[in-house]
Amino acid sequence: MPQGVDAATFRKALDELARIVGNDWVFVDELPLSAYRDAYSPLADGEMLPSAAVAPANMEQIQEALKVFNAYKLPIWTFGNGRNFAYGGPAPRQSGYVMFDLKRMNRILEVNEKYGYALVEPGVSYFQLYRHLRQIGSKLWIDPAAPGWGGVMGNALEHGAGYTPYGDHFVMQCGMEVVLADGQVVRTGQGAIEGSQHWQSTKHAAGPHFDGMFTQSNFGVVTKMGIWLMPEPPGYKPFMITYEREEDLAAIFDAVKPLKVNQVIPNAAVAVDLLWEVSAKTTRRHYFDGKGPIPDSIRKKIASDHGLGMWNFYAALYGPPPIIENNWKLVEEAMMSIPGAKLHLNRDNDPAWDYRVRLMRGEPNMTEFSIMNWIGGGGHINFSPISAPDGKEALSQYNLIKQRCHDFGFDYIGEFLVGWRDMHHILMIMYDRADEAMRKSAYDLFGKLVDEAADAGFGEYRTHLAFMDQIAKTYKHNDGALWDLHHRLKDALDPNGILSPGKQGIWPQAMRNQA
Amino acid sequence: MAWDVSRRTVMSGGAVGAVVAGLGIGRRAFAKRPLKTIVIEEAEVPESRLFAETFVNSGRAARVIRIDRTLNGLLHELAIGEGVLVGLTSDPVAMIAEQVLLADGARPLLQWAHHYRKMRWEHRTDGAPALLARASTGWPTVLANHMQDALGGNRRSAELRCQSGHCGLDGKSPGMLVSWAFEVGVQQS
Repeated sequence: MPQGVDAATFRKALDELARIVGNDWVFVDELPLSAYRDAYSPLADGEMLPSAAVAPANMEQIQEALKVFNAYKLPIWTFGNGRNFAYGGPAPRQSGYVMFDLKRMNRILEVNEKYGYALVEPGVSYFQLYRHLRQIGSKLWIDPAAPGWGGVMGNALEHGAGYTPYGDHFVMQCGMEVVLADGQVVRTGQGAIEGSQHWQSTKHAAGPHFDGMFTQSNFGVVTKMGIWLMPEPPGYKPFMITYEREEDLAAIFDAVKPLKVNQVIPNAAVAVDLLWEVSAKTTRRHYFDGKGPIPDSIRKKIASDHGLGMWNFYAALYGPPPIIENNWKLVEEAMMSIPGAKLHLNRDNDPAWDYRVRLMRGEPNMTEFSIMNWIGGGGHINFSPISAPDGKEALSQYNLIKQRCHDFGFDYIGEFLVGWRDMHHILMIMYDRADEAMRKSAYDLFGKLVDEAADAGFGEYRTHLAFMDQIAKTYKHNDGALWDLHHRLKDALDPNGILSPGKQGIWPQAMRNQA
Repeated sequence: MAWDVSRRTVMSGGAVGAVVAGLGIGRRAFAKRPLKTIVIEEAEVPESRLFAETFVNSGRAARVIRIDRTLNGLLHELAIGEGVLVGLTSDPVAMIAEQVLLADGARPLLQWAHHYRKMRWEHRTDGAPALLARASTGWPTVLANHMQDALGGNRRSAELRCQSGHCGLDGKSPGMLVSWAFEVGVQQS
């Protein structure tokens, strides 16, 4: 049951919601609600479970449903596809929330071949958009997240990333339609001009930009979003370079930084550590059945057996062949100057190479889930600090995090993803869900990393539900002024506090003290 | 889209038997009238291939859906209409299938775990026969036969753990597998 709501009132509210969306789209039984749990939760079983789910079909039903939620002060948890695993999946921030499931709203409203964009609803997945583009003979690419079942809108709203040159999904977002908590519909940017044909062509308009306010937040329900799509380039050259030593990480980033800033390498390049890379091909138990981190001697054997480095750098060049040829000289000169570097332009029968090459050319796939076999038991949470792409900083962050992983008995399994001027470090803490002690250790390790990273000046760009409050508190400048601003906006826009309370540590007034 | 499938209303509440995440879910035998059985084979996993082969050889599999290492087939090929989907797969494949099938209104019938550690397979099933403990590398065959019995209603409901004798692990095996079954497309009463 939602907090503070009695059973009779709740039933009455659900009856009203059923009249809006139809009986078939209100769920209260355990079986359908089990689809809304976090399959990989780092918490004990029985936490973060919904009380009911409501699935509207269109914006008008959203508006009507919001009236009911406001009238009964029911907390809701809004999501599109709900595939945000490692960060909580579709699960609500607290038990008792009503899931506001927007999967039925899955129309691709427009594909504009001339200007290279699509306008989508919340339930559109990467696979759906990809297949649609192929069906209509489009020459536009998508930029999928690593598992392609995710939502185009949801991933952009969560500041997710992909691997083509359009890999920063929020940067590639253009124009939103948002239903506010009181039911008012707002279009951002040029969408506010009646009859505008440029809503998805430019982010700019008179007045402030509000799009960012509706990402990683709980200020409104986004019902439409534009996303820029990359025209298929005339040439594509993916490559991987392996590096023998862990400390090569510093040299890798010092070499790649000018190539990224100057757009010689246009896509989201990534340096993948040995264990992440090999986990798509084998499992830990084939090499080491003991407790604690894998010994260095075995890591070296793994690298040798699979032709991998301690770091494995993936990127690609795009464009007309003469430009690729020219830029390749710059890449080769910089990236191959590190002693021990080995270049790979193709790798037969290598699932990791295969799925990365697909991702860098915008083909969605699900292969990355195979890496969960490394430990088995599927549990994982991603710790994701962000910084500048600096070699010294990358190595220092790596050493700090690796040491903490080892202290808690975990292997370091991670990758560094480089944008234009930013570096996303993604540590995947893997554990067996059935091993309670291991799950608890993963949770404790994560909490410690949040504080230690913040002390060193690193903040997370995205996080699991269970750590949103802790991470919000690390943004301490001027006595937490940024989250004070979030809370002032929350109270003004959603005075009843119904929209996703606690999302990213943003709580409505009535629930703020408990957080 | 799979989500166009209309899902049963649950406003009346309590129509479905107890369902929990983990072992021993959906303790009812599956529908009274015979349903076609479709086997999901994870092509990269040797135990999964042997399990599927046993179903085929027994004449109980109407079809085998092979999932390659992209795992994309899990999103595009599980819409079978009406029937029972079964598989012995890696844990991630079982998780993806569960997410997709639950969203389509499927009903979980069973979920068992098979874990290789310290040179043995450990099986957690409902009422496993002694044969499963005695089997080493051939255990997926025993499991397939046991699952056929279980889906036919011929099983005990007690959770049972057993271990195999010492045996090796195939180089392609993930070493942690899940066997599962879902009833799909049958209107719940």
